[in-house]
Amino acid sequence: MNEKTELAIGILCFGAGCIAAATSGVIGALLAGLAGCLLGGGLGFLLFSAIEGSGHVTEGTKKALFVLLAIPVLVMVLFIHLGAALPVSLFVSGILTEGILLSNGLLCGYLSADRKMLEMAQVFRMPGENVLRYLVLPSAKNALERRIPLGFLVSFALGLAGCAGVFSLTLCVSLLLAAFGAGLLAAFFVSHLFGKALS
Amino acid sequence: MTIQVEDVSKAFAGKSVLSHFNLEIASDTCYAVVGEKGSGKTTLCRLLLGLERPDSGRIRLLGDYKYAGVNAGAVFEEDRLFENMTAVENAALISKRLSEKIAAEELSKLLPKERLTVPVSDLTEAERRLVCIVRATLVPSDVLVFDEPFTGLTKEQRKSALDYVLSVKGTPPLVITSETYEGLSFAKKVDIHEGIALQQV
Repeated sequence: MNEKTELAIGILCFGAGCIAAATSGVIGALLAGLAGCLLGGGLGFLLFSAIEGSGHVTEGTKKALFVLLAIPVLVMVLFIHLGAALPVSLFVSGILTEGILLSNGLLCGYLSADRKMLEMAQVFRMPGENVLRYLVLPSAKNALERRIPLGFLVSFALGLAGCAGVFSLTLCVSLLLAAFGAGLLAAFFVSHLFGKALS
Repeated sequence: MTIQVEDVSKAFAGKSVLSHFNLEIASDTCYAVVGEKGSGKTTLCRLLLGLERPDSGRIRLLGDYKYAGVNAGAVFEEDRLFENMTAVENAALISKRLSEKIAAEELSKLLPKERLTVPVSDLTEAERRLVCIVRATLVPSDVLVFDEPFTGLTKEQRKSALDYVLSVKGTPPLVITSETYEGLSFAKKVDIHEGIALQQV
């Protein structure tokens, strides 16, 4: 998947979130649900396409990442049903989402670091901080530069969609989050099946 | 310390690269592994450096040696330099104990001083190889493994590089691979052909 497609998906999610947030009542909640689906789909598709595209990540890692991706949804449901303040639940889920995006960038960065240079570092017993500074971080930076703007868009849209749902009804929030989870799940399978062909 | 390469075989994608290869590498000795391209020289280097594992046979470190793997100084077939850094920076960053001052002093024995402060991407092929050779000798090592180190060097540069290496290397063995034995008569010759050591002189 190229950068333009990624950006288009991000903008789509962002737009859906904005519309959902700007609309009140049941329509807002339904739109928020739709935004959740789009967000889940977009986010899941992006992450798993990136992972598929890197060609280095094992099936086990994909499953672990999938579990991690589900956490923001679970945390938000849990927090809201426990009566936690909205900012808290949004903050926690936002941090988790960003964390996943960042770690995905770092992972891809490490995996895309020059193998030959890493071998050179290994043979010369190069100090760890130099390996990190001169080999891992530069390639991680490249990966992050591609992922962070989109990560912010997606997280922002997630927050807006969540706000819209909470402002409507708690039930609708649950619906939204369930839809988000379902979208994520669907995206995982779609991406898993077709990710390589599309990336 | 002696490195014993014992009956080592290695294949890639079903193609045999080294076949029942034997070599004993003793301290204070130089070895010239001579063979044509694709004869298994680079694979032998990678095995010695611990970057590959043999499919069969073994590489043993004999004598009083406390480390699991061999501490090596290496010149790789490719330069493997940080392109946007200078020669001095490239040499200095491989060890905490190395200062840029020391690296510059050593590099200036083979390279003009004005070439030490430009990014290595601006150096000639020969100059880059000289940086690699100096870098390999800057860290304390138990063996020096040089894979085609003289590619692109003139005869004079090759001689001065060899003189430099022999003057600074100390007791660790030196393994040099090359397509020809020319200029390496100080070293024991190990002919290698299609992954098989033909003779050890």
